Amino acid sequence: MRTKLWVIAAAAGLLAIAVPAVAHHSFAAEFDADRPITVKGTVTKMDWVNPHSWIYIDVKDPSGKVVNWRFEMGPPNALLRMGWRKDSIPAGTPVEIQGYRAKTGEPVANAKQVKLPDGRELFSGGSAPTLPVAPESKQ
Amino acid sequence: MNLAYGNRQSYDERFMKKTMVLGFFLGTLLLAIPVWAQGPARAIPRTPDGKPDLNGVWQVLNAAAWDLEDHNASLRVPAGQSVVEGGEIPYQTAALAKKKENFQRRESADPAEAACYMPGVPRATYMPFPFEIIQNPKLITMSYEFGHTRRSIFTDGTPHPDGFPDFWMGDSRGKWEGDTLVVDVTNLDERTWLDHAGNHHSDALHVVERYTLMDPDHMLYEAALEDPKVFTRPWKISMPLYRRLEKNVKILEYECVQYLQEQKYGNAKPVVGAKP
Amino acid sequence: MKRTLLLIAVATILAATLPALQAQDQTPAKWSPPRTPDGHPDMQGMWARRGAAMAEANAPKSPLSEFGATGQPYPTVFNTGVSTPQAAAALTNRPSGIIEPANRVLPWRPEADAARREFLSHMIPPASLKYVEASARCVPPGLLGGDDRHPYQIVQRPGSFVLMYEYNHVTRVIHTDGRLHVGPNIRLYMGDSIGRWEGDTLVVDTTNFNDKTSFSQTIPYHSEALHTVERFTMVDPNIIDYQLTIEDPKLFTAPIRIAGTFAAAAKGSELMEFACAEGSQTLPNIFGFGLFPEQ
Repeated sequence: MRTKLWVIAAAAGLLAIAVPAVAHHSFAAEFDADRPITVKGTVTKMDWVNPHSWIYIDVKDPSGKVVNWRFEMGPPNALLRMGWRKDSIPAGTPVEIQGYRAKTGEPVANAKQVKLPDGRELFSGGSAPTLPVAPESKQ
Repeated sequence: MNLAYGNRQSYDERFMKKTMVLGFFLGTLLLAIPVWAQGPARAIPRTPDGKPDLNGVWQVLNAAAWDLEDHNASLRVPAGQSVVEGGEIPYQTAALAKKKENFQRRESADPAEAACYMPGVPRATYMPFPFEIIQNPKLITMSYEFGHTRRSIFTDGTPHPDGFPDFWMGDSRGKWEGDTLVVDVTNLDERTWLDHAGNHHSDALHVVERYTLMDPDHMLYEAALEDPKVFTRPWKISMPLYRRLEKNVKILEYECVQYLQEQKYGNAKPVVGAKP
Repeated sequence: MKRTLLLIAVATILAATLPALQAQDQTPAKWSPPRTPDGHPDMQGMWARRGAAMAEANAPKSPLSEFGATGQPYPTVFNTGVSTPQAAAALTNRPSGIIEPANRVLPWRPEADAARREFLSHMIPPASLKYVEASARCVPPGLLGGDDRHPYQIVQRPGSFVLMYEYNHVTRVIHTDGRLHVGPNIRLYMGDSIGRWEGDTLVVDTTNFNDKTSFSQTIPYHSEALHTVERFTMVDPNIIDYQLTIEDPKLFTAPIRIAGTFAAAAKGSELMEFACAEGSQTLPNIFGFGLFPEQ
């Protein structure tokens, strides 16, 4: 029942007003806008903690070696209110993530968008899922 | 000569009876005197909806924050008697080994003391800092001075939400059983410790707290913990909470995170392209 | 017959319009809010705040704003429960942001303006810890730094008005019991707030700020001389009018007034935990080391 309320809220929502958003993390200090990347891999874990949730994915580099990347996302409260749940993206789900690399050069980035196998995008407001994504259902 | 026969009680028996009755009466009087000396019991305050009024600033007066069990003092650590019913926490074998390892590493591994993370439940209750209870019929808020930690206890009849992740302070749903506030806490992040001595739990921890006003200035706090991954059985702690009675008392700030950042990063240089 | 009908028609019209004509001379009946047992407006509930920000005119270009907040298309303001056309109409054209001075050119002391511009130039990349944006270090937000993508909750009790921010789990207990401010040597990120009711408006006076919070991306700090006055007035079942007056004589030569709105949050909203430092990788990313082995 709670999920429905949030879906309705998201749809009815939003009187967008041009107010400067408070940046609650220093994106510009940590990530490099000149180094955008798109990475494909399989989810190993999701960490639902404010102020940034994290999604960890195994990525195969050209040599075949698997590197675990860490992507920083936004506040999980917004995702939860949009109807996403802890098991919405289980381990094993293949995802495609666009983002910006960390300035430290480590396999860390800030996620701009997370695309799921069925084409849904994690951050697009209003696309609240009604069913969790099951890895078996991918094409 | 013995005159007692049939239904009539002997003189001795009647004397015994009278003595017993008198003794009982006097004994009751003697027992009652301490109560009389105290004066009438102080009634607990109540909110307009008839519930005990828990509003106010409260704090424990014990050493549970350092160690829930019996322990001796050491530098900057006061001694304490166990607040655990039965004395010891009933660990499974592997979990006890983990506790001992935590204890050895506590200065750098205690998430609340070494990283200023929120202490979790029930530890937030017995940190050596005051907390404020803000009570409303549908919501009871606990506002802790340590790190301005806060949790919402929903008393509106709603259940724990499905499919939510874990939170540092868990998800709390409360109800009144007579004059006791009973709070059911789930979704507790496994990374919190139960005290500075390394007592720990898993993500399966389930806590049921009971808050009972004993008189206007004293509350009994009890917490039952169960965690089938870590303990061999459920166990319980209990301790009094004392009302902070100073005039104009208020929760101030202990901004642990800020002080720690200054200490750890105050003289650090950024790793990438620092402009001095 | 016709004349009678005409007379009746005229009389009816007069009867209908007379009250309206009379009413034009009177002030329209003001909406009165529901009240708590002590007779004050009941503003309790979950709210979405908007507008209470300090976007100055002629602002220096701040390197912080190059990417926007997170790079992700999250809604910028927490969803409200306001969805009927009438309620939505009440929310449009409300005053927002700096309203005094009207041209939003802030009355800077020249030396303070120069100092903050100099400070801004060291923020990207941050030269040291203090140049890392305050919100990225989980500094308590003060009165202006709250992230409005997260809701607020108001609880009222006799003797206090409590404003809870979901953002960084900040709780402001505003005492309305007549007590005075704490002593001048006590300095707080959120200041020390005392409130009083002026009719149906809650007036909150806040002093005892430390100098460690930030006003905006172009005003990264203020001084301990900061003094604020806020006014909360419920004007509609779904709207609390919010006014904030800022005085900081070390930065500005005159007070600044900011307007905002608290709009009723979506029904069923609950405050959720917002754990800041526990989940933040900002400082490890910038300085290369964390506080815990896992970071």
